[in-house]
Amino acid sequence: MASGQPNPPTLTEETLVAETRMAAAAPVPTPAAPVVGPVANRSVMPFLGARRDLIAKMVAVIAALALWQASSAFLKPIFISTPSKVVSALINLIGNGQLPGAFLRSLIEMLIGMAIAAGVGIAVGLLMGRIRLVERALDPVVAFGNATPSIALLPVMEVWFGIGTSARVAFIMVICTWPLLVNTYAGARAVRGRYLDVGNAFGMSGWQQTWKIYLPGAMPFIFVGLRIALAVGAVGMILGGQEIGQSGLGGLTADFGSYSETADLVATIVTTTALAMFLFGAFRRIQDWRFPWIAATSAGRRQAK
Amino acid sequence: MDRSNLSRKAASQVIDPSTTSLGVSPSAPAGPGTAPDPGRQILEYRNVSKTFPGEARTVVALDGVSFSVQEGEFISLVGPSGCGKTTLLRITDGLETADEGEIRLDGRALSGVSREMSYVFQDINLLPWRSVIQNVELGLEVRGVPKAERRSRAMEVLEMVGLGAVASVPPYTLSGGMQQRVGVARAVAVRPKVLLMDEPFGQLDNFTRESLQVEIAELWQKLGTTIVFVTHDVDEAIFLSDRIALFLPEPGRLTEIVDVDLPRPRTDYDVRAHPNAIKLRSYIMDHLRGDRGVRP
Amino acid sequence: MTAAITTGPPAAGTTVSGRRRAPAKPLVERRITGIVAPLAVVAIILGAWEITGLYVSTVLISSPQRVVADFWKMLFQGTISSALAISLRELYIGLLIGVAAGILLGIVVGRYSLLDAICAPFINAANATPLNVLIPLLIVWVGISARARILFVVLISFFPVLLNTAGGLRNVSKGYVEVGQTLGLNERQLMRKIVLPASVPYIFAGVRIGAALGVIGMIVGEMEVSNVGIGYLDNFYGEGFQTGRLLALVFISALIGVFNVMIVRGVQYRWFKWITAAR
Repeated sequence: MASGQPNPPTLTEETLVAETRMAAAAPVPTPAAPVVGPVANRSVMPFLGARRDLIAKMVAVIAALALWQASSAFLKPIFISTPSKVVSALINLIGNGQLPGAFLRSLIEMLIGMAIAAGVGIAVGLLMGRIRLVERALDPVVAFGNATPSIALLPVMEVWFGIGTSARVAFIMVICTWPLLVNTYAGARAVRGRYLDVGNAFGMSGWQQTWKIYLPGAMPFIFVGLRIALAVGAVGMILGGQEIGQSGLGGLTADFGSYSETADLVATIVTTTALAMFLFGAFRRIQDWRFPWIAATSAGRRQAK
Repeated sequence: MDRSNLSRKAASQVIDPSTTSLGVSPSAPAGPGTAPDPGRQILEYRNVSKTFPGEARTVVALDGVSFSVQEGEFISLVGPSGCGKTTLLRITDGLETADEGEIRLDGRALSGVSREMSYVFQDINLLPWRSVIQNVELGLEVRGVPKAERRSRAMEVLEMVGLGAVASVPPYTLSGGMQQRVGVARAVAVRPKVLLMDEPFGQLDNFTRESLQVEIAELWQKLGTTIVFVTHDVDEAIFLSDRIALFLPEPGRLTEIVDVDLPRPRTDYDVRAHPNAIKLRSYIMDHLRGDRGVRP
Repeated sequence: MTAAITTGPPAAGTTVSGRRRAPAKPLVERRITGIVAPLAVVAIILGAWEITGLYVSTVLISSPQRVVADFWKMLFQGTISSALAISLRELYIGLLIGVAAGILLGIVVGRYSLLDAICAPFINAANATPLNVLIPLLIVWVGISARARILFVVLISFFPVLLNTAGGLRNVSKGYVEVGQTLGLNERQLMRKIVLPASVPYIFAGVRIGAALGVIGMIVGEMEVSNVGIGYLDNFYGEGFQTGRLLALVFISALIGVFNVMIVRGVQYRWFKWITAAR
């Protein structure tokens, strides 16, 4: 969205993956100019600009809150509650430790699951991009695995790991592995097409090429994969909390939902949004801090087009 | 031919490489549209200025540019990158606005995008979702030309650029040279009073570029349209133009307009070897280089 | 999926230079490794799975043989077909609404920057949120019903379509717009003849993602809001430790996802060939 927003997790970036997903077996991967990085706020007819947008945003948020508060006049509070009630619910739930506890538990499960997924996904993706035989062997399996909605494996996780933390972490990990793997693989293939000659020209060994050319070269793709993994993984995090035992933020929503405690429910939803935005923001920060060239070059590429 | 209409600055600096002839000799126009009246001033730039404010530094793209273009003439704007020649062309067609000054077309001050001129882009930008002929028809569509006439007019210009056979194919199946021919056809189809060309052959290889230069020269002779042509290729400018406007950067400005005294028609590329061409070339190169040397 | 791959860009005259790797090995040999290697891997996986199934309780991992048998059985029993009918109906109603709404709103938001500014905070928040956190709220609103599930499919497919469409409109190549401007197109004509067609690739990308997410939405919705459909059966067999049937269901949902993406691809290849060919 507008450039003023901190870290919009634009799903648009999935353009890239959507391409690679289906073209998994195609010989020449051409990642189409994907919408990577913050979308430039250029309309066909630009007028006033940032200041106006900021004001509009603030007015919109305030108006929405006011409307929401006013809705209590004609809607039963059970439907969407009111901002004031939600705020008091928030204070209450934070005070008694319920929300912070759930927040932390969900966050930790999410991070562990994603970390394992990143390890597996990036390693296998790089291997596939580097070693032709591995690529040929795994390509169909990966294509199939990626097409499978891993979310449906939730009961399998219960069967394997019971209904505890390990099942939820495993569930998140299974979900997150695919986007990371597929994107790393796509990134490695892009490197193979683009920068390979550089490495060969400098006489690097295979191992050096993997570390110094392939891994960094695939980084833009890996970050796209991370963001997609985060998006689908968060769905898994909540679903796991709701279905595998009742734990974390997902468990709280199921709990409050079944008792129709709408204010508490909305407070939990808001917290979940905050958690997700925090994670998206953190990843963006890390990307800009460690890999500032990703945003710079993808923007440059688009301009050159 | 009356040259007094030229801006003083330019006129005072007009050099005369060897003859008194001014070299503006568009041959008898045979194309559609109104018959051009050579020597009549069609486009007039008055003190056009433009700056691009930047974070690091403000770039003065154009600093008080004044000159005029005669009807039916082929004029090139030449200079190193950053001299504002492309910016001037974009301002001419309303793609950018000038901070100061004005441009007059047929005596009327221009504002916004003009429908009386058309533009050929360096990166061509054919619309991939339209076939070749549909690309050419685009300008006619919005001018309310009926479908049948649209088709026949588009076909006519396509044949003029030698692409009648590929009218119905998608543009991305064509080579770069063919694509730019379509780009020219698209611009010519609306019968513009002035055709603005922004380094149209900049992306093409040398061989394609040379043959397209010859084709453009022929097309210009056939149509009699006024052409303002931006390039950084001095040879290209000499081969094509009646006059060449020299631009220098920082700040972007017009420093001189020189006449090209070479025989027409110049369909034969050997005009390059003509003594006048060689003299003119070295003069222009010295001018563009020398000024740079003086500046810190 | 194969359809998507074989329908490549037209061989004739594509000027975009595809970088083709120099063949490292003779063609025949590559063909062989290209077929043999994946087959071998699949065989090894299935074999290992089958053998483990002999030693580990079938409750835990079932076995390929059982999965296939269960798949077959369920295919001819009423359970699967009736569940599938319910699921697919909800999925496609939801997708239709979600995708249509996403495209329409995306166009509006992409077109008017003020509206974009107004909607941005809400869209960003909603897009970041794992939407299934809203399911308890949806149940409060419309009860445990097909409507809740359809609503969830709508929600989950809506945002990627919206964002891609809006992003597409905003990212139309400046060159295309300028072509329109120099030819004298007015604002409306620019929109209709340049901006919208140029956004079509982005819209397709959004719809592809939406169609894939819709399947996830269908399953999640049915897991949480029902006693019908594929997602419910999934849970049911899970709780009954019928792992073979469960995996067969996972396989079916994978097929639905692939089918969806194939449809979107098919439409793109059939009517918007330039998207892939012009690259």
